[in-house]
Amino acid sequence: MMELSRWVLKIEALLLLGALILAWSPPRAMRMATLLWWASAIAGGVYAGLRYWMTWPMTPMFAGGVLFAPLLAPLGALALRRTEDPACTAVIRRALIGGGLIVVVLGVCFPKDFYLPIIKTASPYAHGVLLFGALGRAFLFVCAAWSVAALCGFDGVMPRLFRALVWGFGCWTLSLFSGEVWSYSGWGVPMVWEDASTLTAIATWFFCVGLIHLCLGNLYSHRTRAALVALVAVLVLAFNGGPELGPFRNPFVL
Amino acid sequence: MKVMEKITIFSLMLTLITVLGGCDKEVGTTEKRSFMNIGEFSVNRKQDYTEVRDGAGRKLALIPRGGKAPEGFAPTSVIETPVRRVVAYRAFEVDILAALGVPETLVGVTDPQEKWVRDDVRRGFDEGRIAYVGQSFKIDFERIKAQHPDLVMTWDPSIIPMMDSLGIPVVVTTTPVATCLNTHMRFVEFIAPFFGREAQGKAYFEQVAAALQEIRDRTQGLPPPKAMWGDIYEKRVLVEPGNAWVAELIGLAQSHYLFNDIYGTSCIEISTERFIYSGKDADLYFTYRTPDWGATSKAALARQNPLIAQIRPLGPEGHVYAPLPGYSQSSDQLDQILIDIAAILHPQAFPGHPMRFFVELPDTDPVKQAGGA
Amino acid sequence: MNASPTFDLPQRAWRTLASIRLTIALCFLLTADLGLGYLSLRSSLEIFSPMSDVGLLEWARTYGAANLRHTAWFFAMAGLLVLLALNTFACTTQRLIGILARRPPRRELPFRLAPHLMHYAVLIILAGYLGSYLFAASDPGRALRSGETMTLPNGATLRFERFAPEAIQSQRIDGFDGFVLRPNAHFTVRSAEDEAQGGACSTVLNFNEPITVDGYGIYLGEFQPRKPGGGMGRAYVQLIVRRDPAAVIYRFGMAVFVSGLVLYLIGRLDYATFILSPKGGKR
Repeated sequence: MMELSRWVLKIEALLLLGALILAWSPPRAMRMATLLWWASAIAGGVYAGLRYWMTWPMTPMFAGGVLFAPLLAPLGALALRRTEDPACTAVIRRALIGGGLIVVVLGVCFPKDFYLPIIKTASPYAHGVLLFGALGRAFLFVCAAWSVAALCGFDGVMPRLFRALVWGFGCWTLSLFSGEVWSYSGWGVPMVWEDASTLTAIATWFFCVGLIHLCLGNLYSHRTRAALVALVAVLVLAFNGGPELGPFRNPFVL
Repeated sequence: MKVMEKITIFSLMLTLITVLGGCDKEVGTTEKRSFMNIGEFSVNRKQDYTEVRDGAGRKLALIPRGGKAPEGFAPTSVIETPVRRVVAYRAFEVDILAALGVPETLVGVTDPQEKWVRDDVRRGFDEGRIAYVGQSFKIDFERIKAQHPDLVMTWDPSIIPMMDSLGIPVVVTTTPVATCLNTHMRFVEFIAPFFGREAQGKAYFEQVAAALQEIRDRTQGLPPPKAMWGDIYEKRVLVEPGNAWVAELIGLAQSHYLFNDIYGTSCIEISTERFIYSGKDADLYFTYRTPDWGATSKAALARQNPLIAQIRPLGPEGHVYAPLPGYSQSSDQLDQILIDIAAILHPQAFPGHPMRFFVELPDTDPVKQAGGA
Repeated sequence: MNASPTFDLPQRAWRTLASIRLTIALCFLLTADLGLGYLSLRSSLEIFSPMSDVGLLEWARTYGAANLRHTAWFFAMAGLLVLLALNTFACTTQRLIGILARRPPRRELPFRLAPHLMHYAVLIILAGYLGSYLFAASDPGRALRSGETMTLPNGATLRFERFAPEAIQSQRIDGFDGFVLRPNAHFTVRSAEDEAQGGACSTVLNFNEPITVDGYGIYLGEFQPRKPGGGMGRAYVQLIVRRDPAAVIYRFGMAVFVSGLVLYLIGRLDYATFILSPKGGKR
């Protein structure tokens, strides 16, 4: 079953690659790119379903780094629904497909799916950590995509960037709070030190708080703000995705 | 508004002064304290007693014989030192007693005499000083009681309530997470205060540290072999995680440990697929099984579990090593064990080194002579 | 009109403390510090894991002071959090007073107050965490076999009766078939009052489902057998006993934060969109 799930993840990566190539092609290929993107999202959903099916009612270990990639398609569509500028739409779409591709390729090349599940993760709060965390990461990627558009010189994107940032922050907060309630109900402590990645999750939360205040305070130029906001995707990849990566595995070797 | 500002700033300053004042006070008192943590174990010397924290996070007080028990400790959490009679669950603790020069304090073990290769333990059995108190998971509490121990060293916290009712103090000597190399080497410094043998503990540590330095020097710049340590059982795969002392040692000896990314308890369970995947890349394989437990040849291992035949060390190019019975009962010679492992990883760095604790498995079991085959 | 330097200093200090630039700087510094903390914690977990048991002050005196190379980030984080708490208090109080002075329409008030609710919630959470690490009492190593009784410091007793295990029946994961998912450890509990009056009640303990007796939380740390017939013949529960009077504070803070967040998401997004749009101008 694990092997099947890895194949599905590879298919998701291939579909995203196809979508990215088409997203750089002439506008009439855009529909095909969208189609492939949604197909990749379905593959990602199947991957998530398989990982969950194997471990239910426990949570799949170290899956948060990959599970959010399929959410980028629906959240991207939601974010772009009122965008009239096709050039801006194209930039956002490329950024999101590219971001999703990086995430999935990292998941394919550095899988960390060999740990057996932990019985203590059979808790709604543990699922909350994973699911709200996935939503939070996806929103923050959407936010970073808007910041790319801002850096490319498109006007009027800052409010949308901010909206995605706030939703990402909200979901990330709920993920952290779920973790805290789980920690309290499972161990009786405010924080379980055994999982070092809790620290990087809190680090991302503080970074989001800083960005929100940066936007609300209207400090610095739009461009500077957008550049700092773009860093959130790097942070999610490095701080929150990094601890969930295993050793390198050549995806072409069966 | 101004009044509120003043009140706020005053209260903030008061808070800061309190916090800083508190910190300053702590700095002053730190000098009088002596604290040492050995992994999750700790030794904290206080004015009238020594407070130790065992592997289960329990606090115990070590007091001189006839001394006054400190407040806040249950009677069975107070241990008079030096301890004179010990029941030890693991061979590791027995070895540590020998390293500290107090093997005669051992009065009970959880393996029968025939399982022991240590002369001092066999002699203890012969003299009637040491008793077999039952298997570690099926202890005969009456037998323990009859040995009148001052202390039981165990990995099993479930015996604590029963021991409390018998009035026998217990120290838990294992932790939920695998011990790193530093903790493994310094564990003796945790046990030493129980026997008033701190100097011997320090000497032992320095001896092992010197061996480690020798390994570092000899293996520097050598091409790193890829090694794995674990086993496949009927339905389970257990390996040593990257945070375990053997994994760290392999890394220090200029080698690549293939489960370096795995974190957790000693003998952690992982998926079979990962074991096989890493095994296809390995040069060396250390099995948990001794020859007594079926590790007599590569073919014998493959017969027990055909899946393991897929890993490279079981092929003609690889090497498989099994621990000899003396390996788990010789931690008082940890320096020699470390050198044995380093010599397996880099034979060219230790020419002519006689292997004492491991044996390389042949491809097939030797054919028995004189009508054996 | 010019204020004297004596009066000017507190005002300037207050303004600096309430500055949004300070908030941003502190948040980014905390991000970097926690990133370093991750690296440190990953390599020296054993230094930090006793903190919940021994308490913050004792930990700082012992593990913290003895391993400064690994714990420096933690002390830096504590300092930054103190500054952030001061900054949050000053910043949000200043703005809250401004909002209340302007007397906004009652309908808008909850939405306008939502961010400040979140700010105060952060202070409550931080205070709760601090209280928990300062005042919680913990005993992590209590093991009981079937039929054994444990007495809490206040005289209440817990007797471990038996397991009623629920096992996983599935081949989805290698080697997991038959493993116990819920041990359902049955206890007879007599609170201090019950002990006096002769009463008792039965309760069940599981992972993530603690028992509370007279303010003590009883958590399941470990149990055996993990599989019917396993555990090498031993059947026991290992309990973590904690009394944490501050837990209610940070959990209340979280509830307040979530309330503020929900209000903010519902009511303030359009407002935020307006103020952030190029035509919307500065707040």
